[in-house]
Amino acid sequence: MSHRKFQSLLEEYADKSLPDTKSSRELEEHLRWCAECRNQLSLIEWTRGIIRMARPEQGPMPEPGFSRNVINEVIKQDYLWRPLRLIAIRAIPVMALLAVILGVLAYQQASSLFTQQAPDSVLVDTYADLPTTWGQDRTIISDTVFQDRDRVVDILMEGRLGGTSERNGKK
Amino acid sequence: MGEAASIIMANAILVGAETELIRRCRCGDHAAFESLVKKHERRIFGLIHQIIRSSKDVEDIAQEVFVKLYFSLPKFRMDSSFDAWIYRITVNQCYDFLRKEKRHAQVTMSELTEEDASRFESLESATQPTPTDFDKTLEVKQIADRLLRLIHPRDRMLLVLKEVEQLSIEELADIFRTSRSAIKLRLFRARRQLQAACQKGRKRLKRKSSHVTS
Repeated sequence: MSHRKFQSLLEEYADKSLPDTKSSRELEEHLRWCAECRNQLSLIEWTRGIIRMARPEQGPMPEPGFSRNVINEVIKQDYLWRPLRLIAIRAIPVMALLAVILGVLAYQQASSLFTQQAPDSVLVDTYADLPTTWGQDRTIISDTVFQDRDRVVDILMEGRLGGTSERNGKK
Repeated sequence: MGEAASIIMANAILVGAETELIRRCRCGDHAAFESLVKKHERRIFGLIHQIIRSSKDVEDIAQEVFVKLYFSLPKFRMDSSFDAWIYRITVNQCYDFLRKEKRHAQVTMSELTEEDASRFESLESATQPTPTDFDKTLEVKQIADRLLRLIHPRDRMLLVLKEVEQLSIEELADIFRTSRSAIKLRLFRARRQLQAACQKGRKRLKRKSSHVTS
């Protein structure tokens, strides 16, 4: 048996509750030369002495009516908590069902948001392609359009930015 | 029939009677619960007193223990130990009480007076040989009590259950819902704490006495 194994048996040895005499004899043999285990055993005995010495001589004893008081308290608490417990027991399945329904609805909502695609008509190559019906006050021409001057001219000639042109024409 | 066999039989009858009581309590039989309370009240009072080390609140805590026991009976597994169950509730209730009251605020050794330190010295000389040789005077008892108060309540509870209630490692493991090796380790640490508290007191006394002679 290893030192650690002997060490783990010290509590039972001090209690005289080791299951077999063989381990007890082996431990006694080990204690002869192992100072660490001897110290631990004396620590167990020393603390046992302190604790048993510190035991209060006479503690308070239960009054004759103590058990009756306990029953009264039980009845009182039972009376107070039983309706709440009943409500809680009935509310749990309802709440669970509601949670499931809400979860399913939330899932459906979220999945439709992710799968929905914008219609092709909304997709524009440049800001200049935006329809005039959007009622823009200012002309928006992207940088890419500015880089291609011919395209700007084409757009203006075609009246694609008509919102501004129309307003200017009215003036 | 041998003596051992009759003891085993008597125990079986007692356990059977208790099981029947528990069964009746679960069905809401208050008279059965009253019998159960009467059966365990003295032991529970003693244990609470050992742990909190004050007579004042024992009855209140005991009442809370039994009320809790009543409402937790439906959760009790009939194949497990009822004693361990009731001990567990008591230990938890005491610990809650100590936490609320902040009584477990550990007194540091610096708070001990010179008189206390000299009493430590007398305790040390009284506890050298074997525990049976202890001089059980009131003073030594008080010192032992004070020493026990210096350690953490959780450790104190463990030591009290082991050394005063004389519960086995197996039973302690059941109460604290842990392994036997973990209980042994916790016991070892608790004992070391107690020893350290005593050693600090002795060191303090030595420092005082050397200061006086110089």
